Amino acid sequence: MLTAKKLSLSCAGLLCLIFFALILSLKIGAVSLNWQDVFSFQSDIVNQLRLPRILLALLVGAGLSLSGAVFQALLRNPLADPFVLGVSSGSAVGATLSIILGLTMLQPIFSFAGALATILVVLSVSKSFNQHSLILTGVILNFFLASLLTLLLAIASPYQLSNAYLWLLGSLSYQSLESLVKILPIFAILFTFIFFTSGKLNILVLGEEDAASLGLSSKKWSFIFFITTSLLVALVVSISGIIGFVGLMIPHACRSLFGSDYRILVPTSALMGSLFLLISDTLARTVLLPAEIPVGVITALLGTPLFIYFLKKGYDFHST
Amino acid sequence: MIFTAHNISYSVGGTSILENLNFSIPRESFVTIIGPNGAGKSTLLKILARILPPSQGQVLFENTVYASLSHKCYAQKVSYLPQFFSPSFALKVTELVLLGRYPYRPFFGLDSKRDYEIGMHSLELTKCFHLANRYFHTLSGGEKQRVLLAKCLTQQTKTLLLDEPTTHLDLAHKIEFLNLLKNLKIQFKLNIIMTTHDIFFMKEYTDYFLFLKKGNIFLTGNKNMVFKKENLISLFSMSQETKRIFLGQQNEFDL
Repeated sequence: MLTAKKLSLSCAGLLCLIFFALILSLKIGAVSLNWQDVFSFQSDIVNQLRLPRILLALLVGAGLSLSGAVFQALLRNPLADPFVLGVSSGSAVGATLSIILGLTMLQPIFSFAGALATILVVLSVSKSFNQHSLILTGVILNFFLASLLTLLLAIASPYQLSNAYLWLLGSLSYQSLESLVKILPIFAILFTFIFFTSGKLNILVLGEEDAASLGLSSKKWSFIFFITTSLLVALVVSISGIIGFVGLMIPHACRSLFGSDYRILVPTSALMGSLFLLISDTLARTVLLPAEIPVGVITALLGTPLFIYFLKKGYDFHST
Repeated sequence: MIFTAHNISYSVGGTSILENLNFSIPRESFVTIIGPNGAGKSTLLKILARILPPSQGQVLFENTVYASLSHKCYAQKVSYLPQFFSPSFALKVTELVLLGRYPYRPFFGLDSKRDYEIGMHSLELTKCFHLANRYFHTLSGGEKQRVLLAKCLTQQTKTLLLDEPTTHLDLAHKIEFLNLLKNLKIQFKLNIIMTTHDIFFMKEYTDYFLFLKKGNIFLTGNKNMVFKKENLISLFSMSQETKRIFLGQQNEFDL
């Protein structure tokens, strides 16, 4: 039974952890700051470098794991993640294309367009939102786009190649505070919408027939969730590149901690994703100083043992 | 009348599944739909549950065209127990049963204390209160069906549509499940419509039979009028050999 108390306590706990991680992340790095610098917000290191990066980590982490959780419900498949329908490949092709065309400034727009075009193709090919045909279409499109990406990389110059490679690894170091503030409202709207409609995901997970017998039109709501979530994923990849594993693992971690009810799974996945990516990114930029590790490497290196721990603890994926 | 069907047909991809069915189902009755595999029993039940829209014709629910009712409103009046149910993620019995409160919830609703009490009461009624904290997929076949029935009761509908609820149960569990249904029907004045292949148990429990054959109504009426061996022989188009064996065994079933 989901009560307001359980929901708010879980979220408050995660928010506290995020707060501590945030403070710590502001302090440590290539230059270790003292507490006064951290809290006065006068230092350029805080304002120009660390704060935007932390904010980006929070947004991207929340976006990836929230959309992973939603995709797992829509496709009724525990293996689903934000990239399962080809969104990542689509945005990779878009981003690489902008690099090759010399339009690096427009890279976020290109990758956003690539991601959105891909999801629209997938949705229009499988008319009825049948999960098997959606997954199959996504997998096939992924192959197609991967070949296209290889082709683009083959004709790229060495300089373009290294640029594209850096984007493909995913990074949280590119965005300025101003550009983040601009897209923040879109994130806020999408998060709020998905949070307040999350009860419908519990019903959609049951499948079309059982949803209908409980009074929910699954065609309509699957479509709405596919569109909103895909927008979110496209937005995330356009500002951070492709960061794997968060969107697959965090929803499962939250299921094992808080249960399968989407009304709690949606907010906790978002918060847990933020926390996890913030910690991963802080590690990525501090453990091998002065070098920086791609954050996607950390998410996988950190996530896999965590995942195995949840499995050992008796978490049951129960796929049918 | 709880349901009235006017000339309903259903076809998919050019194949006709149901053809011009006309029938009415009176209030507080227990109706059993039987017929050979592929006769269209499940399809008919899904049309009544408003899961599938009829290709032609109209269904009246309590004398109003059911398509004119909102989906949530209909889900407060009619519940459905599917033939196959396997959730994709591990669900606790309590969580599953409380899904039955969905049609009553406002925009984001959390579970109220009342929702919880209704759910727990339904679990008591179907004798699975002790399973409340178990995971659904770890239950036995009989327990699963009782939990799903509890979900229908949590939906607090007067009308229950059940698609072969006894098929995977053993002999004793079949009888216990049907007894439970009968008692609930009397206690809450329910309307029960179910499909089944367990035809020899049904005479004890049902009021009316609806025999379905190749998408048409073969015979319908009071159980004592229609449940006869010659009707069953022609309903299932038994061959001479099948008929001989069937008639050899039928004494044991006390037809």
